[in-house]
Amino acid sequence: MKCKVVLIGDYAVGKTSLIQRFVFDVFRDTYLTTIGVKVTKKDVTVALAKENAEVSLLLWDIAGDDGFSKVSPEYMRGAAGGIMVSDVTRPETVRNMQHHVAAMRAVCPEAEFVFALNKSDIADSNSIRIDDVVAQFTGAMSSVHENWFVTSAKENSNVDALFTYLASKIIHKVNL
Amino acid sequence: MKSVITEALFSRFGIFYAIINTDLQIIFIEDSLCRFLDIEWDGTGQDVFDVLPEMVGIEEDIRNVVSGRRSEYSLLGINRTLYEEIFFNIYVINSPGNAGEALVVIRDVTKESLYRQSIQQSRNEIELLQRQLMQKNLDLDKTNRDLLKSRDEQQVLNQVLEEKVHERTRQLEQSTELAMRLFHQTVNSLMFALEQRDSYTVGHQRRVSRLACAIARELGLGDEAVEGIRVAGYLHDIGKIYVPSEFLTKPGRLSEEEFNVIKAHPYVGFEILRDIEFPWPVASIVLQHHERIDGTGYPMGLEGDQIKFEAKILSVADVVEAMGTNRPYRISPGIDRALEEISKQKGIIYDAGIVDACIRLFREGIFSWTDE
Repeated sequence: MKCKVVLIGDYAVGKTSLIQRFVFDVFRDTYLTTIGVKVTKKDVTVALAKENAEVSLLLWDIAGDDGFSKVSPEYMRGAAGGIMVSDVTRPETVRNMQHHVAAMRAVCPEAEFVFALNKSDIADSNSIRIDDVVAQFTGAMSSVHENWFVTSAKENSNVDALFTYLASKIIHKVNL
Repeated sequence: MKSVITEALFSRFGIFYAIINTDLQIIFIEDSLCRFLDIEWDGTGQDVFDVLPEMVGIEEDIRNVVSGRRSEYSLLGINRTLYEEIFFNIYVINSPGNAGEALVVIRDVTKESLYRQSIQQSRNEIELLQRQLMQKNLDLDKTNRDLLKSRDEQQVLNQVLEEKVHERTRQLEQSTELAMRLFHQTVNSLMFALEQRDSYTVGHQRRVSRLACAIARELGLGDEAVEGIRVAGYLHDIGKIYVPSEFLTKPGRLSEEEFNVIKAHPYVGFEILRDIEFPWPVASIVLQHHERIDGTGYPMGLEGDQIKFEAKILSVADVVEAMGTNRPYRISPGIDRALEEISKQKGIIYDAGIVDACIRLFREGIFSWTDE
């Protein structure tokens, strides 16, 4: 089964790094802006009630929203899931996840979502308290429930959990 | 079949194409697209999603184009890392003359995309730096505000502290002033008590004190030492409270017993004063004021440096006053006689320097009993 999963967020929040870490288990400290979209495939196994399911995740690394060029809705079409990514050291990127979710829901109302509060590794050095960011995020997003992760592509923290959680949600939804 | 011109144009502008059918199979017409996408061409059709996985999720849109329900579907800015970084646009275009088929046109946009990427990269980096700078400025502003607030609080605290210190200083000054007043009143009371009992000593202690202070100043002693000599002078005969007044005013020679009683007065004075916490060794000065440097004095027969310097000054002043002023019961031999006496005993029973200073005071008119 092939599933299209799009990663959406402001520019330089670490979408490419999350994919690189999840698919190739690498991290590059240098920032290279993404242009257009790059699709990377990763096969994952999802545990179901009776058997495991193999899923090919087609991860769409979409150029970040930089305030000038918005994320094209065409890139979101047909997505089974979306990962909204933000940078915990830039509060506006956390707030903007609401807009990205709204944009994606307009194109893919049935898609599953998960949120990544990324770059937790540099929170301390920027005098950011993760608890404050989470409180701000969960306070602003009434429907996030448990589908958010504090992640660090650099330290490989919660990256696998982020993707496999979304894959699991997609598969369970398909199997209903 | 493409014309030569078309082929030249396609090659010039990086355009490749293939056919897609209703089974969503891609049929390559030539190998240029396969080369561009770095895939093997075996001449057969291939699953569109294997060749172009970017089309997963938009099957319905593609079918609509193939069937003619929609004229075109495009997906722009696809990036792949193959033999090199490539960017391309995909256009699925309905082919009106060929039912159940559509054209898949791939346009290589690598150059312009890399150019765009370079510009976008610079813009994003500048914006990130600007944001960091803004944040740093905000942090600096906050630090400045905190510092100003802290400085204001410190100023208020300092003002409160200064007021407290000022108040405590004022209280301490008042307290010190009161203590000094009480001290002088006590000294005067002690002196007065003796003078009330014994007319011999009326004014004697005050005058001895004045002369002793003048000698001390002449010798260059500091104010603090002079003040100690002043107090010791006021009280030096306080021990005479113990001596019957008839012994003190008796004309003629005293018996040995009577003289022994009188000789006890420095020690009695010492006993009276020893428990009073003066800032100077008043009790010791009083004890030693009848000692002589050759050891002939009393009560302990001390000599030389065993005797306090203040006591040596007091002893000279005591003798000069006793000889140099009249008493109700006797006529004074005169100040010249007194100075002659201490001059004769200079360096023998009296300290030479002290005697010289005392004589200088009188000879040069620096000191006079009538100065009071």
